[in-house]
Amino acid sequence: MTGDAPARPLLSCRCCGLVSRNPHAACDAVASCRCPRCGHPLHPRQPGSLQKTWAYLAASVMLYVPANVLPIMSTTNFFRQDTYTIVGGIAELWIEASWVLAVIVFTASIAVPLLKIGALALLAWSVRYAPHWRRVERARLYRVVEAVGHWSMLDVYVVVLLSGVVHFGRLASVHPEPGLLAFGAVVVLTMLASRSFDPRLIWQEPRADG
Amino acid sequence: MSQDIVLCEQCDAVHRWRPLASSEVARCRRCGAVIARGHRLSVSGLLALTVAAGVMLAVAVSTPVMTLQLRGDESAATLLDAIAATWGAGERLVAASAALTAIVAPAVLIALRLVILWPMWQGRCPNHLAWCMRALHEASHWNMVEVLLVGAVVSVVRIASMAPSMPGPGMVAFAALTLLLAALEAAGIKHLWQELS
Repeated sequence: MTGDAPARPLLSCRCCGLVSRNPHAACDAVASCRCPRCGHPLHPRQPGSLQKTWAYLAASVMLYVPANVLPIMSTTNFFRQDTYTIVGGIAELWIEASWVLAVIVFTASIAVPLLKIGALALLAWSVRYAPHWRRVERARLYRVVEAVGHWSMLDVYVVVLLSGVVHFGRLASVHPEPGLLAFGAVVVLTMLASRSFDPRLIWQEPRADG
Repeated sequence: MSQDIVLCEQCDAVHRWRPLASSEVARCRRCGAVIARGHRLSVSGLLALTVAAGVMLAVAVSTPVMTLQLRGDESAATLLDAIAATWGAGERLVAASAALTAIVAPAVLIALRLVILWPMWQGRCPNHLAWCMRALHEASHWNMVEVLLVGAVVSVVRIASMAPSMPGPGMVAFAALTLLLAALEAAGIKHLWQELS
């Protein structure tokens, strides 16, 4: 019932699921073709998967610092000005005794981006240096990363909504700050990193096709 | 190529295919990923869900997500107002990404499903089916309505310390939209290829 496709004579369309015969299977070429049913490109492996993953990861690590150091939002409240970083916003929720929300925002804004960067780095590293190590668990880890990735946008929406509703001039107003852009970029870049990673690499035999 | 073989999308393991009963889930023997789900909704059922989601999206973006009261003044903001305010404050990329993930992506998902499902419901073959299916596959990764909903709840709590705040009808509509889109996602659309070929 189960088995690998050794020379990859079969290609499965990632968009519509149709299985086609690989016209380049005999010569082991990396040439791509398109799905005869829906026209989506067919590849034995996503081209440049590891390079793209590492590039997006490096960019997101660089932006992670400004995203957490710079303020993401400033408030004016009865002539008093405050700026909030990501951690500051969570601290405020915690002090106001909204513990459930504080935990949700902490998970979405701090835990998920860090775990995602760490997990993707581990997955990309292990393809080359530990190909046989815990494959089923690594496959599951990748599915978790894909599923939770977009939840980090939470803080971006919070600031956007607050700047839309709180505009009473100097009495009370909320403005977005540059840290928000860096944070949003980290979220999008880590999503691109996880989409570039080809989970089929986890099951690839070493030296099979480089 | 015959349709009695299916490959796992995540690891390329080869499996023999058999049709699934509704609520049955086929998982890969090797990596455990979901290969396919049995579907119980007909084309008319899918179309009904899609139309409902379209109505909810229209309500969600045009009515206030929350209202705020301060010294007799009331401020109500729809999602569009909030995105316009962010754009006006100079954070244009942030405003654009919020608009793309919370309005454009769900709108595209709903519109493409309508383009596919409406002709099928009338017994015709949809135009540009392959293009629509590919666009649907791409757009589904960028829909974040459920995250926006939680963000709206967090926002209401955050400003409660500043002034009395209330969730508005837009938030209820976003909650309904989240459920409808989740139901559509679970109901699937790729299996319609088999009905059409």
